[in-house]
Amino acid sequence: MLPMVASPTDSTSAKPGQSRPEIWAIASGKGGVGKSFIASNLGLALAQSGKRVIAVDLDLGGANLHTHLGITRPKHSLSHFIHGKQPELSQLIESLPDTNMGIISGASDHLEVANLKHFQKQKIMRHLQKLPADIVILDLGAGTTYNTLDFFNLADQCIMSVIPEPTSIENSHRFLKCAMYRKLRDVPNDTKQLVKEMLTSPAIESGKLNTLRKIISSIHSKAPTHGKILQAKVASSGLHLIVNQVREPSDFQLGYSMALLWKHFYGKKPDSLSFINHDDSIIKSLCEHKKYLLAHPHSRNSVQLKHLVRVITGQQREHGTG
Amino acid sequence: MELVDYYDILDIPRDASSTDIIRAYRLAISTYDTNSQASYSMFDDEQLQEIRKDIEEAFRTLNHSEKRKVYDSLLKTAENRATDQRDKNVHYLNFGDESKKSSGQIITGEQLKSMRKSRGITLAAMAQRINIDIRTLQAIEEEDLNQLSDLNQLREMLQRYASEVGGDPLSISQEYSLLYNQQV
Repeated sequence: MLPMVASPTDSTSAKPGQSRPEIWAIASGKGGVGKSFIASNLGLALAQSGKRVIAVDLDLGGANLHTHLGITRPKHSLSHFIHGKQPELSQLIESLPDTNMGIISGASDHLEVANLKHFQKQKIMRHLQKLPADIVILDLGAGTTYNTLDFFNLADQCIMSVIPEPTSIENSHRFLKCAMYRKLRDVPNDTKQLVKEMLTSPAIESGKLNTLRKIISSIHSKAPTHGKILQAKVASSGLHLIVNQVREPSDFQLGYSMALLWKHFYGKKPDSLSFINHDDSIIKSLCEHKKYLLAHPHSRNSVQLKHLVRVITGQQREHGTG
Repeated sequence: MELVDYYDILDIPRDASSTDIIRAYRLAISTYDTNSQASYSMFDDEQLQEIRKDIEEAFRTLNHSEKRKVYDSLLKTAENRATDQRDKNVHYLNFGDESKKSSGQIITGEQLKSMRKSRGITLAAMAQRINIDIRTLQAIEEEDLNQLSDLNQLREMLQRYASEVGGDPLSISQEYSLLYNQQV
């Protein structure tokens, strides 16, 4: 049982030599599909389960995670860290009263904050792994910039959110495809070279190898050691799918179909599939500056998110990574 | 020609009942329908048609008890052949005298280091990729076992190390652990 602490910023929270926190990233590829809602409320559900949680708003340029957590004006911003005004990311944590959770807001009026330089991203990534928490939740921005993809690939648990609309589905496919291909660059040099050769081969041009799974399988049949490295890379983090704003029975079908498609395309089915119903109370909570999960603890969506937390942490225990 | 795994196409276990098969077929065929939301933007019409052809073929075969029996035996033979071939192909990267070692022998920190270096991975890059701090990695490579107090944690770190350098995670973690056990 994890010790409950009053605040993640409490100096007793971080023990010297403590291992890095688990990182959960929420992405979608498209804006307005509920990433911040999911990030904030998953964080609250995790905190309720006894974990020390820090949610970080990396939707730089479009940050509003704080609003979902009932904070109108965050005291600190990630931009202070990015611009060197604050050398420690952990100093930007704002504790949420009566919870075991903190937030690092990304809200900023600085134009440059949305366009991180490579070294700034590296610095954030290093500091994220040192935050005094059990779980760090990353609320990622829309689009497929390298920065967003790299934050996604840093995560131990990657959570994709989609809504039943073609634009959302299209962007989610593009995002996951880009993230996976980028992940495959982070392998030993000779394996990387094989992937590069395969991606420029006539089989790709002809459309014969039209899925990532077929590409890896083709490499595996020629060079099993490298194929195994790539397969392990694809499977190296948890992958979860949330269909948000469900209104109709056919929206459930979408989730199952996407799960099958991920298996065929990437060779990896989502480790969990969840459905969040369309619920006017979500907007109401936002307008009233209330935290949805605390204001509606028994709603179907709150129950679903708490269940998702149990599923993911249960899977980690099963695989011995929790 | 490689035998297509129809169970994989329909995403069902080998002992799936006929109800499971029908249900899985319906899901698969609707997933790859031209008007499917789920596959929107992923494939062009021609590719979708090709995928649906495989799904139909999988369903026709698995939903017919006689055809399924014949297919199952073909699949089994093909898999046995693939396993035999795989056994021949398993050649985890061997380095220096590591190639001579057999199970029960010890793999040294120096050998691990040479595996890492031969793949052009710096210590810093390794630390970042597998989330183990540099000092611990150095301790592993220098066999500074006093720094490595928890055997289970060490095994887990070695598995990550081995995967990254293209080695066999299980045997490397076991064989290095022998070193640890000798000294403890």
